[in-house]
Order: sequence, then structure tokens, then C-alpha cells
Amino acid sequence: MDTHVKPRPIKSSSDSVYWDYLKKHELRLQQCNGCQIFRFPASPLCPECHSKDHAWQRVKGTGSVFSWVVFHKCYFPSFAKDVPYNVAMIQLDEGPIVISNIINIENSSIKQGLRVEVVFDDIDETLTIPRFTPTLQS
Amino acid sequence: MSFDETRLKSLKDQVAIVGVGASKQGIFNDADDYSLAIDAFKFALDDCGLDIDDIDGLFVQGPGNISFVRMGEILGINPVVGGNFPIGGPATAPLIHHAAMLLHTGACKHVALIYGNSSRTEGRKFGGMTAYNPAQEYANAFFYYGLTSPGAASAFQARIHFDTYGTTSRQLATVAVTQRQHAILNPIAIKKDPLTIEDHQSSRFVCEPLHLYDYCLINDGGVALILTTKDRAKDLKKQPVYVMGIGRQDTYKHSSMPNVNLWRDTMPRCAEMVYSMAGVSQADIDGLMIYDSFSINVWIALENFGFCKEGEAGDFTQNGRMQLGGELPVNTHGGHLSESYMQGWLHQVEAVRQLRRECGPRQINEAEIIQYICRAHVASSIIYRR
Repeated sequence: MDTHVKPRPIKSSSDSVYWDYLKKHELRLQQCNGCQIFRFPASPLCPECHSKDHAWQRVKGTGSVFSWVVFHKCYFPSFAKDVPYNVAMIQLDEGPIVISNIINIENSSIKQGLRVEVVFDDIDETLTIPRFTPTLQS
Repeated sequence: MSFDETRLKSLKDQVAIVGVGASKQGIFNDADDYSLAIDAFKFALDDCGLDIDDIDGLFVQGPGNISFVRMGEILGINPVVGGNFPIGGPATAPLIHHAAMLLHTGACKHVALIYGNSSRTEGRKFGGMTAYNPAQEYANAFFYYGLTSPGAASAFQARIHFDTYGTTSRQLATVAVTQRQHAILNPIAIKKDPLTIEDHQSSRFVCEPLHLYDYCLINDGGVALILTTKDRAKDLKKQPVYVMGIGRQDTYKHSSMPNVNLWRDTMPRCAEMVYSMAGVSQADIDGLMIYDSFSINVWIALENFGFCKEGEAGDFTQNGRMQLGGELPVNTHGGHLSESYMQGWLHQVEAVRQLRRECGPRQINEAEIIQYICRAHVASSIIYRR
């Protein structure tokens, strides 16, 4: 593998739908039709009630920063120009926690509870990655 | 209670560590996992006086691709049972647990646990593409965001601790500084230059908010333990160190992500199990060996095992409490942060040597009971007595 190309997600049968919706700039997560719980990452059945029946529910794409870190060490040569870069755990307003990067902000300004919303980063024709940007509040 | 206390207690004090061995620890371009592990194993055999043909259980561990079958071939033995646990660093106490059950139920008479690690020489970073493992969910699930390494998961947890309880990186520095003081007293420790709180605070970030000195070393080395039953242990060279209690509690729910609850809903059950089996409490512990891949592990272990309350580890660990001579000495060998990164195995060696009273200037006065704790999605603990 060329280590100067950023790693791509390893798509599985469970989450190919997730990635397909992202291409259309829609953030959708599995919501169990048995108990209504959202789950992430995608899984073949609900860990709470074991129902396989689910809907790919569109979420608002808004949430709050739960925790975040800043990588100063460059573990991937393809991220050499990005360090120091942040990675955040974001709690969506619907409940589940997702992992992403917060863009359009200095790392030192990120705070727990910071309100953020999804933006869609089109990497190429086959891949769109959801990232988050601070919500502009009136 | 998720366990049968009566049956658990049937294993109490029935099995002992009788031999320990550590190879040289450092950076060795001329060695590999097998050679370092075998050096340690030879020391452990000599430590207890057993012959290699006495070994009928052979478990082999390490962060590389070390194989128990190949190890047995190199050693020229056909044990009854062999294996490894592909769960990384947290495998230490689970393998001792497994060995104890094999011995107690009569399948084996003498079990060797052999560990080899040549991560430094092999260039293992514990992050990035060298950590890619399709069989491990978390290791590569979010690479495309640049998220990699166990250190990042601990960095998220440190941030959560700081934000939730008002604790600070400066308080966390006490873990690294205390362990360095201990390492200075340990002949095999790699890092022996004095370390101050200011040194910690001014060191570079690896994954912020964790600084360089919050991270374990990455180095080469080998460790071996030999266990047998209580009755056989009495006839061997050194004073046996008995396994009083073993605890284990796994966390698989939401394990693709750093654990945001700091394992508060699971690790206390490991504590309950180990103290129930051993029949002792926190107040009886003379020293703690805590799996310290990152300094924050120590706080999480202290809180979730009831040595202090949730959120209080920052204050609890100040004023010399964790130092030799303090109320609760922690990682008297220097741990992963300063002695050597042998993924919990040298923590067992230190527990044994403390209880045999072999530790010279770093000896815990009148050590009778030592506890090992490992936090993780596979949490584990062992209580040892002399």
C-alpha cells in the first residue's frame, strides 16, 4: 500500500448503505425498528433487542463535542501536512456518539459541549466522509 | 453477582508462581522475540530449579507474531497444552488465570508463560499502518480520520477525566514522576535520569492532552513465569508466591470507540471478583502493580477498584502516596513508563520479587499482599501473597 495515500474506510456489508447515503450528502444511521435505538458503527442486528429490522434514519447532523484529542505525532505519512490535527467524539442530538474531525476551528478553541454540524467532504467520486464544523449560532 | 463465590474460592491459594525470569531490557538489534523470550525462560527455570521437560503447559505472548508452536519446536518439547491469547497487552492476567485453571483441574503440572517483545527493533509504533489488523475492530475503524493508537483512546479518556472532574495534566504528571523515582532504584530499568513535573509539562504532546512522559516506552525484552500447584511449589528453590484472587471483566459493548464511561460500569465487577476470591480488601494491599501503558490508566484503575472515589484520583495520587514508603506504593519497578514495556509481564515479576523480599532499595517494607490491575476492554486483576 502507498502510505502517502490517506487510509480509506473499510466498507462492510453492514455499512455500505451508510457510505452510499453519504455520497448523496445525507447522514443516516441505523435505527432499530424493534426498540428505536440508534446504533453506530453499523451492525447486522440491534445489540439491545437483537432485532435485525432497522431503518436507515436520516439524522439532523447536529450535535456536541463529547471529547477530543489532537494528534501531534504523525502515525501516517499521509497526514504529515495535517499535524497537529484533531479527532473528536461527537454526540449527535439523536444520541449516538460518532468519530470525526472538527474543521474550520483552531484546535485550541475546541471545547467539550461545542455545538457542531455535519459537512460532507467529497474525497473523490466513490467516497464522501462526514466531518463537523462549529454551528453558527445567532 | 455474576460469579459463584464458593467455586471461585476453591482456586484461592491453590496455585503459585515459582519461577520468574527477565531477559536484558532495551534495544537489541541482534535479538528477536524468540531469543529474548527464551533467555527469560532459562532464567525462570533456574529460578525455580525445574527442568525443561517438567513443563507441560506452554503459553507464549507478545505484540509480534510469536508462535507457541514454533516456540515449542525451538525448545524441543511437546507439552500437553499450549496456546496464546490474541488480545494484546491485556492478556497477561488472563493467561495466568488460564494457567491456574489448568493446574488446579489437573491438566498440567507446571505451566510456563513466556513473553517476547522486539517492538523497538522491529519498528512497531502501536499506531498507523503497522497497527493495521483486520481482525481487530477498533484498531482500524477510523483510520481515515487519522484516529489510531491505543494512546489516542487513553487521550480521549484523560480529556474526559479532566473535563468532568476538573483534574489536570499537572496532577497526572505525578504518575510518571513517581514511577521514574522507582525506576532509578531498579537495576534493569531503562529510564533512570531524574524526571520532574516541569519536565513532564514541557515535554511534547504525542496525542494531546497526553504528553510524551504519559506514554510507555517501546523497547525489546523477554519475560517468563512458571506456575505450579501449591503442593509442588513447596519443593522448589524459592519461596512460592500464591495466587489468592483473580478477577476478570470484559467490556464489548461500544468497544469500537474509546470507552467514554472510563469502564465504570464494568471494571468494578472485576474488583468485586478478585476481592471476593482473595477474601481481602483494598486496605490489605501493600503495593499495587498497575498496567500503565499510559499514565491515565493508573487513575482509572485506582478509581474503579475503590482505592479512591470517582474523580478523586488526581488528588489521591499527590503528596507521595504512591511512592515507596508512602501509603500505597504503585509500580515500584518503574512500570511501562520507566522500567520497560513488557505489557504487564514485568509487573508480575515485580510482585513476586516484592513478596520474596528480593527488591533491595526498592523493597516495600514487610510486603505480604500485592495486587495487579489492568484496565481495558479486557479488565483483569490478580492478588498475590507470600
